[in-house]
This record gives sequence, C-alpha cells and structure tokens, in this order.
Amino acid sequence: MKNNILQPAFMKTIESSASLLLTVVFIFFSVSSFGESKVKHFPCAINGNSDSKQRLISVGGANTEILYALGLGECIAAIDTSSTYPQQTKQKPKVGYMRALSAEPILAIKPTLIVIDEGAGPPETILQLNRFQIPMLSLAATRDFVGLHAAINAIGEQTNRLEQATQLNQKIIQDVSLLNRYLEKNPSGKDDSSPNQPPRIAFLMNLEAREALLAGIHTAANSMIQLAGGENAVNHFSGYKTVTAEALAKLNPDIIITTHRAVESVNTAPSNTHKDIVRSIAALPALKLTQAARDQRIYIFDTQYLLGFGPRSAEAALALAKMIQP
Amino acid sequence: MRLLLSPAFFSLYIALAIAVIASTIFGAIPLKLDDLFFSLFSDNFSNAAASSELDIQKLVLLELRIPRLLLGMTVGIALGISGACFQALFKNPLADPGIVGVSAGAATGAIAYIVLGSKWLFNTNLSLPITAMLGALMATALLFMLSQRRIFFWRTASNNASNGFSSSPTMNTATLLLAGIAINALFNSINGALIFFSDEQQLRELTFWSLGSLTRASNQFTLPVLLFILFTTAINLRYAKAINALSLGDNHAYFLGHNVQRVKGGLLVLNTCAIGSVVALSGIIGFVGLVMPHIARMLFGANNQWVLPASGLLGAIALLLADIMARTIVLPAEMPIGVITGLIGSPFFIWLLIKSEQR
Repeated sequence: MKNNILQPAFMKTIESSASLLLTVVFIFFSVSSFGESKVKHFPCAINGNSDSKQRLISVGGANTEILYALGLGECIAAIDTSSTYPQQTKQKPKVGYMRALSAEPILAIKPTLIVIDEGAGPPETILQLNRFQIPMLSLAATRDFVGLHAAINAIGEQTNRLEQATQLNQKIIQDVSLLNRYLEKNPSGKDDSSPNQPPRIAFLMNLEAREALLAGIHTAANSMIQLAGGENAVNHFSGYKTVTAEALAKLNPDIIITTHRAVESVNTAPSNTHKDIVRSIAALPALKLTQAARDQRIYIFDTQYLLGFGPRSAEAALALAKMIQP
Repeated sequence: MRLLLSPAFFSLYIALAIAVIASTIFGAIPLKLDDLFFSLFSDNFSNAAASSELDIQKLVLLELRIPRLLLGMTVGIALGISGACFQALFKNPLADPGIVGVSAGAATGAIAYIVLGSKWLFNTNLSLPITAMLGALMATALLFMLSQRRIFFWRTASNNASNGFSSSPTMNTATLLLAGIAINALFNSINGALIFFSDEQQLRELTFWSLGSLTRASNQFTLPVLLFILFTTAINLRYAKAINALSLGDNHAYFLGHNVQRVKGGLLVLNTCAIGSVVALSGIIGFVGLVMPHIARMLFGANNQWVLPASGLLGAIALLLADIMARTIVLPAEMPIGVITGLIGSPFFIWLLIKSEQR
C-alpha cells in the first residue's frame, strides 16, 4: 500500500470515506434528536382517585371499548391501530398494528397492565414482554355474550373497576333482553308464505369485483347475523373467503350487509344520500344478480360497531334485527 | 485478508462502530450506558427479577437491543456481500437479490413451510431458514438458466458453447430486469396461493414476510445463521480474485486458471443460501444488496477484493442505521424496515437506471 498512498485515486478513496463517515455521524446526531422525547408523557389523571397511577395499554378494538366503558379512558397510555372507538381514541398514541407489535416502545411506556387480544403478535414480542414481567391480560376474541361478560369481568377485576364492570354487564343483559323481546314480537319470517324461514343474509367485507370478501361460519359476522334472527347465507366454509360475482349470484342472499369502509372504496361520490349509495352498490357487478340487490336490501354498518363484540354489540344486533325485520 | 487491515478500511470500521453504538443507545427506552457498563460486570445478574431501573435497562440491553443488533449486522453483511457477488457473477450492476426474485423465492420457501410444512416436516430452529434457502435456490436456478439462455434442455437462444465449459453470454440489463419481474411474479403468485389456503393463525405469521422487520430478533435463531454468514463471507473473500476473473468473462477466468463452473456454481449456491437464511429471519429487506456494492465501488474502485468486504460492512452500517430510524420515528409504533430502505434505496435505483441509459 505504501507506494500508492500519494496517488490521486487513493486520496479520493480517503476523501470519500471521510464523507461517508461524516454522513454516518450526521445521521447519528439527527436520530438522537428525535425518538426519546416522544415517549415520556402519557397523562393518566382520574382526578382525586386513589388508583390514578394506572397506565394501561390496550390492544384490540373490543378491549379498548370495554376500558372506555369502565371509565378508564384517561388511564390508557397507548392503543393499537384496531382500536377505533370511541372518538377519543384518535388522540391516543398508537403502538402499531396488533400483529406487528414491538416490545421496546411498549416497555418504555411502563404500563401497569396490558389488555391484549390473544391474536396479537408476533409471538417473539409477546415472549419478550413476558420476560420483562409486564402484567398482561390476554383475552381471546369472543363471539358470544358469555365470552363478553367474562372479558368485562376480567378487565374490571384487573383494573379495580369491579363495580363498573357489573353495571356494564347489567346494561348488556338489558340490551340483550330488549333484543330478544324485539325478536319475539317480530319473528323473522322471510315473508308470509314461509313464516319460519329466516332471511338468508350475506356479509361482505369488501365490495370490489375482484375481491369480494364473504363471511363464512365461525366469524363475528356469522354470530351477529344469528343474534339478529337471520341466517348466514354461507354455511359451507369458515372464515372469510373471496368470492366471484357468479358465486354470489348463485348464493342469492335476501339481504347483504357491508361496512362503511367497503362502501367508501367503491363509492366515488361521497355527497350522495343513503338511498343513492344503496342504489349504486346494488348496481355493482358483484352484487347485481342477487335478490338483495333487486330488493335494495343492502345495509351498511361500521365495522367495529357490528363485528367488534364489545359493549355495543347487543345494541348493534338489535339495530341489525330492526333492519332485517322492520 | 491483509486488505481488511488497510487504512482505507478504517473509516468503515469507525462508521460501523458508531452505528453499533448508536443502535445500542437509541430506542424507546433511553439507556444510560455508563451506569450499565459498570453494573454488567460488577454484580450477579439474574433474568428473573426486573425490579430496579438498572435491571430493566440491563434486560433491555441483553434481551432486546443486542439480539437486534446482531440480527441487523447479520442481515446487513449477508445482503451487502451477496449483492456484490451477484452483481459480479451476473456481470450486471442491477443484479440485486430483491430485484431478480431471489428474496421472493426465499419468502415463498418460508411461507410454504409455515402453511404446509410445519404439520408434517421436521420441526426445528433451523427448518425455517432451510426451507427459505430452498426457495431462494429455486429462484436462482431459474435466473441462472435464463441467463444461460436455456431452461433445462430447451435452448431459448443459440448457445455457442463448444469448448467444454459454458460460454455464458452476459445477460443485458433489460433481460435481467424482465427475468426478475417474471421470477418475482411467479413466486408472488405462489405466495398468494399459499396465503389463500392458510388459516387465520398462519395468516398472522405471514404478514411479516412482505415487508421486512428486525422485531423478531432472538439469539437462538440468529446465531446459527450468523455463523453461516461468516462462513459465506470467508469463502467469498477467499474467492474474490476468482470473482474478479469471472467478471471479465468465463473464458478469461478459464484461461487465468480458475475452475469456472465449480467456482461460479459454488458461489451462486452459497450466496443464495445466505440470502435465503437471512430472509427467513428478517423478511424481505430491499435495496441494501443493490445499493451497497455501488457505494463500495465508488469508494474503492472495481476490485472485488475491496468491494466485497466493503459492501458487507456498508450493508451492516446501512441496516443498523435504517433500523434505528424504523424503530424511533413513529414511536410508540414501529415502521417496517423495508419501508425505510425502500424509500432511500429506490431513488438510488432510479438514478442507476438513468445513468446506465446514458452510457
């Protein structure tokens, strides 16, 4: 190396490596300026309350709804991106998508309890959190009221809100009995000719022709349809599957339920009235050939409201029942 | 090997040291390194009780930061060196594992293992990296055959191989990119099919591979792969001269005394396996394998004895810096690292394309 150390090419090498080094140093210091400051303050002040030191992290839309319903909204330090209700969740810091969590930011919040959906992950992150002995309440996503009551009780117990949990459970029981009374009064016969045949309902997560996502059995949509006195038009597969327009025409549901998100992605004119929206959806190639489209029986719900299986689910089921059988 | 100790490399080492220190210090939890340094060696440390502040810091360092650092360096070195080697072997500056579809092949292998294999195949720590390697090998075999102008026995163009070894016409950039598109499309559609047949539990695991992340760092998976990457690195450096000769053309390499087929085939398989194993750990992280060899060449010229190690070091530096960004800019969430490398790398890619057009 000694004899070419004065050659211009070698000097250039030194020069450019020096500039590389400067770049790295620059990035080093620019990174050091952000990052740390953002994590520090998460307010949790239930004024005058003794347990105002709770710092909760909620992962899963239903868990967040329950925490808010128990009056713990102020104590939530961070939520995941699936937590969209109530409105105040917009201001909360987000720890990201529930299946792509990262341990360190969660640790930095120093939570007193993480209420977490059992499906959250990746598993490595959950293991890491366990190793740090972060108190964690893992709840399986439920699809019936028994599970919901259990979840509310578990959360109430862990957060010292047993009384509120009991009240919330009672309110849900009331809602359920309202629902049942409505169903008794309005038996959901399809029409007068077949009074015992409930209408066949299809839930579509997505309306685009290429990828209409249809809910099968063992889904939250299936449970809600049954709770509201309907019958899922699909009984031959579980989970969500994409279906073609033809398959949907063959299925021929009497009623189609979909979500605001799905409607937004196909509806180009947001200023339309509700009736126009339904008409434009009914004209979509994927739906056009169904009985539901012919009768304009297409109902649009908020995803979290209808499928979240949280405190509002009995109410949502009643709303759905009223649409099925007005 | 003496090259690695030359003064010109020192700036790279210093940059790597800074990147290592930076990725140890920065993160959601601020670490006080001076306190930690002394406490690490002073008292007995047990995993069980994370009571005091310092214990938590220690745990963060040992359980989160260092595994992640190791994974980042492993992936960075592998992508950098294999990227450089691919570019030399395919005699093409755009032969990046991501662009030509090798990473997609690796992802297909990994996804196939999760969806189909985990039920009835061997189930160990290493089975995921190995299936990813197999997927990557399939993609490379396809690419290699395309570059040789024949697929199995079907010659797609006249091949004037008459002198005992394949004459290997150089693949021009457009053909290479088109082949890359085709291979990527093929493996992505296989991925799509596998995802369609997967159940919900598997689907959760699969979301991880599309955009890379270092979140899943754990030493028990990283260390075997790191050993393999170090082995690959050593072999690559040992054959750097042969790679130089090969980039002149197979004929030249042959007359310079290299066993062309063995060296070329061996290096291709080895580097492909390296890519496959790191994709199994981190998912697809684009553009590192493409950009780092170019920066290395800007710094040190075209000699692969310099370019290969420099590219590996630069890969490690780049990945560590990108990871620092990925885990700090959207706190308390985390950006997929593939997004960061893509945002920085794709303008560079476009610039390369324009430059190669002008020539």
